[in-house]
Amino acid sequence: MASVIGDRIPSRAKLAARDARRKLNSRLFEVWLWSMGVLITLAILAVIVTIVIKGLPAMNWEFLSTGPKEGMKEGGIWPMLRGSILLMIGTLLIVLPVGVFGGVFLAEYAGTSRLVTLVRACVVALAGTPSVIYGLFGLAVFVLLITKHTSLIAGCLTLAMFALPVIVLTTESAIKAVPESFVEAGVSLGMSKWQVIRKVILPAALPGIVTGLVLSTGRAAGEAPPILFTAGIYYSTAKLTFDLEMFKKPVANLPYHLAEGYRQGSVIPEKIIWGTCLTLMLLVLLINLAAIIVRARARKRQVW
Amino acid sequence: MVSEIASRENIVVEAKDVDFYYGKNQALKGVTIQIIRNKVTCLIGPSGCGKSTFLRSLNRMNDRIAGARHTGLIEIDGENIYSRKTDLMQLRRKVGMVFQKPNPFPTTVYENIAMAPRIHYGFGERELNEIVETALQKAALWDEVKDDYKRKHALALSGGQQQRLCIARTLAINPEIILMDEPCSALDPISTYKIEELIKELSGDYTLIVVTHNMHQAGRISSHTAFFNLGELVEYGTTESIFQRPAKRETEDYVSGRFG
Ligand SMILES: Nc1ncnc2c1ncn2[C@@H]1O[C@H](COP(=O)(O)OP(=O)(O)O)[C@@H](O)[C@H]1O
Ligand SMILES: [Mg+2]
Repeated sequence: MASVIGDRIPSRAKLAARDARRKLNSRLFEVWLWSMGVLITLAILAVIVTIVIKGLPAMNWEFLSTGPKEGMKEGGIWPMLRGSILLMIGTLLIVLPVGVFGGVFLAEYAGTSRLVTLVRACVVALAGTPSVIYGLFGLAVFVLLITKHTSLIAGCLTLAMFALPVIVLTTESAIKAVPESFVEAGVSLGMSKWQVIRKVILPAALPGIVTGLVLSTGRAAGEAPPILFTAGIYYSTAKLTFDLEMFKKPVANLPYHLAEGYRQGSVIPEKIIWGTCLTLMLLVLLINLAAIIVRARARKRQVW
Repeated sequence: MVSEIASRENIVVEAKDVDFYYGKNQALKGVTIQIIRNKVTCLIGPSGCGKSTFLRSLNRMNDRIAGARHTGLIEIDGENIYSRKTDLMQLRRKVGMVFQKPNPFPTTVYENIAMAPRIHYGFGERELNEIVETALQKAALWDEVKDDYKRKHALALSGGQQQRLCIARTLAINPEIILMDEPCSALDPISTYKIEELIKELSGDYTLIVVTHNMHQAGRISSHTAFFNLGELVEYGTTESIFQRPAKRETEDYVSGRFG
């Protein structure tokens, strides 16, 4: 018996040799992973550093808080910054109810019929659709059919369309990630389905839902194509107002300003374009930071 | 069976000839049993014999499983709980449940208990305070959490404390019956001891139906024991008779530890 086992198990020297080979392999793999990681980090850093270096000279409080002067050749970008913030808030107000209810519906009520599977596949496809398609859709529907000219509300609606699929999907998966044991507890206490959703599932899924909401709204706010045809306006000197009327008017915004700035024959000086670029990047980073903080705080409490 | 308890008002749960199926798989076969009010009844038997299935058919948690169906009659307080008139939410308030793995909601200790009374009966702050305190006391958790139960996160409690919190949570809506599915199997011996003491304490005011695979536990806490095997109720009677004078060979083999 002993000899049979001895024959089948390789000698210690052979085992050691194999072991060394495997160690070398995993070492090489680690090196490869690290170099890829460094490469990616460098690429991202290069983008950020370039924008910061080129944008910083233009950046100061006056740049952010005043409008353009001398036919765009000087002055700040407050109207564009304000427009981008308004677009983002408007978009958030639309996607919050629609996206969350859509996600709840898909996760809890839709079931698994063939129609629902098809709908879900469509939502996934929409989430991957280039934003310019939404821009054209918004132009065809919100602008040409409803408001007849570009406007803040048409821009918000278009951005909302763009952000919704991702929000529906993140909401759905945040809800599905809530442990069944919480749901069972709610049901066993005599709660109705809706009560369980409202009191047990949504609070537990909230961090995931909010993260999805903020990230995709922030992403939408940085997109130029959806608002190019639906909301944007080359800077006008019309007085800025805060009222319901402003929703019907076109609105200057950062991505539009950038697109204009790079148009052939643009009069906007390069310094201002880089400053705009930096502002937009900071705006989006700020929003992502908010999402990260929300998630980190929720993580601390989430022990399951 | 259990002839000495024939008086009708003593019977709280009555099952007659219950078959239960998960799709084609039959989990219960002709189960007939009468469970006695304000006592502890233990359901014992090897794993997979249908204890949980029977327990979960009493508060209709099984309704949530696609393809689950049953035949036969289950009555609580003389009412068919599967009748069309049954108010499912009300049934589940009357028949509380404690699960194998403690499953408090991911919120404060206070909120865990206050949630159901607030939702169901619209109690205000002052009444809720009383309800929460009483429920914590009844569940023998008050002394351990009285300083910070309004702030303390439920998931920061130990496993045993979490399970007592789950008991407090169901006590807060004053059920008649409390179902417990292996409530100690995820707990250490000291926590188990505390829950067993609590179960004994609660009987008298509540009917407790407790699934356990621990026969010693059944011996310690219950007045009646039902032995299930392969989906059938093999034998049912006072715990003493089941352990001391089992009528069937199967029961004797199981309680003496020869199988299962
Ligand atoms: N959700 C379910 N779907 C399908 N079969 C199930 C389900 N739950 C339990 N069963 C089956 O029913 C039988 C009884 O299970 P259960 O009541 O959980 O037994 P016990 O609690 O005594 O261990 C087992 O054969 C089990 O595989
Ligand atoms: Mg079980």
